[in-house]
Amino acid sequence: MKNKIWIGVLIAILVGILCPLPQIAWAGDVVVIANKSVSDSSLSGEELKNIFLAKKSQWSSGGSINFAILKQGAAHEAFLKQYIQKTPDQFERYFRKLIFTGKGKAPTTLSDEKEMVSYVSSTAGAIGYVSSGTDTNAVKTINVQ
Amino acid sequence: MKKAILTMMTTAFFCFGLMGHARAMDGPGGVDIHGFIAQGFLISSEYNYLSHKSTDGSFEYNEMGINFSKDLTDKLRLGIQFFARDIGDAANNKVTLDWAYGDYRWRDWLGIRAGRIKLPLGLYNETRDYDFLRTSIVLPQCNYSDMLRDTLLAANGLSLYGNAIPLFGAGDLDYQVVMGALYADLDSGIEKYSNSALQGAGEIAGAVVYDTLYVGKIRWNTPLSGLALTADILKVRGKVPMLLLGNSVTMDSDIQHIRSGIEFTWEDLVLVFEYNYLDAENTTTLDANQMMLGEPAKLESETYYWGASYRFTDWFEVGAYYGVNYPDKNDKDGNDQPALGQPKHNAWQKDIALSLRFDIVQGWIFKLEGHKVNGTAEVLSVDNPDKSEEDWYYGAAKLTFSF
Repeated sequence: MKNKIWIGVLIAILVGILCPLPQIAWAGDVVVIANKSVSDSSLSGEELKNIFLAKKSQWSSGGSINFAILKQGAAHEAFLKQYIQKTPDQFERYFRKLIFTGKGKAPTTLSDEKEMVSYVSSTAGAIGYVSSGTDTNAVKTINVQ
Repeated sequence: MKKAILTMMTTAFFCFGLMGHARAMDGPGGVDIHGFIAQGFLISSEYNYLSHKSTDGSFEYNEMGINFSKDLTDKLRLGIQFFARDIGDAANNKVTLDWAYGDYRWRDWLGIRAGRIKLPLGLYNETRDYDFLRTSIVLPQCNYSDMLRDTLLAANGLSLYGNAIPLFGAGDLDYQVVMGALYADLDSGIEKYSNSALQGAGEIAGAVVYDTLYVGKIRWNTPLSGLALTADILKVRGKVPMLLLGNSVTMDSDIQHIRSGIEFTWEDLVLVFEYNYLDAENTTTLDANQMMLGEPAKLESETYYWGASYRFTDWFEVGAYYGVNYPDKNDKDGNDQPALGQPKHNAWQKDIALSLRFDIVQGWIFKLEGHKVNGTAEVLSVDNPDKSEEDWYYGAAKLTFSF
């Protein structure tokens, strides 16, 4: 039985090594936005994911990252699915795990996209997302590679 | 003081529950406050399991906690959580310090924590208090014994950690190292668990202190979307005072516990597998003359489980797992058990569980669960003198509120 277990573990490791599927990095219906003070103009899919999982907390220039999420809606669900690879429920449970183990706090949560643009444009180091038709003149858009 | 904390916790949950809130409460000075309260019910055939009276049905199965935290700067965070639970005749709603530490995150790849720190063992040890974060009510007991929950939950000491360390196209790595000491609260279940293991030959006779503890854990977030692999090792050394056949003795215990896990998430489906290997060496000496009683006793245990859960809708989720426990991996067939006065099936426990989770409204969760069990390795002798039945069942229901 033990051999079977280790064969299973080995297969999983080999799959992980041999199948480096690229992170889905197409913009789709969602645009990633940042405060104009942010010097970074592009992020890898992995970097973006780690920002919104509270694992990456500093921009390449050294400033603090302030990420914000939408409370709900199509843009929120599309963003989580495309870039974070989580459902809204899985994303919420992830942060509740951080909160209840003392490792983090709940993300800044905004009720609509207008509020998101307003928050990102007025907060240094802020990053968020909106649907592609939203007016983003007050912020900069981030290219996700 | 503890009564005051318990009263505060109960009042906070009552007020939040009535108001229908399920989000953080903003306390004075920008302190975030979160909490949870859960009431369960256990019922079993044949054996009293988890609760000492579960064959009659038992409501002595509840837990509650409240935490306070604050970011003092971008890099420095402070937090504390109080916790209480009841599990049959153990724990008995005694308020404990679940975790309390300062956290300085110098860089994403290096932070330090100091205080009472949760132990990052397996996929779920850090979150085992919070049934609202998972599908099942009872975690696979082969890997996460509820009788040892409080003992293995947290240690007093230091921790170094880092997240999202890039592996140059091969995903990224999270790590955590904990160094400290572990103080076992005898009322929390460990005394009952240990006395059962001694099978009447002896009993725990004083405070159990593991003065040297090291834990190292890595989590590899692979490039295959949704697949993460984890591995951790616990090394702990301590002294256990006992009464053995009427003599005061001290058992020096040296334990090494290795775990590995796989977690795969694909949309609403989550698959998990965990394997545990425990290697313990216990040396027992008579307190009166420091004479060693025989050769050091060695024990190797092996446990593992497979699990799956699927969320069908916003309010309904189903989960299942199959867990196997061999407390003595060199006696998987139970051939040594009759000599110990136990049936062969006491050498293993195989548990098939099916769980239903209903997210009633935001913050409120109701769960139902059934278990079909073969073997009695985790059935405590102190609550079940006769362990002759090989197959048995138990079920659980639980209502949880969290904010």
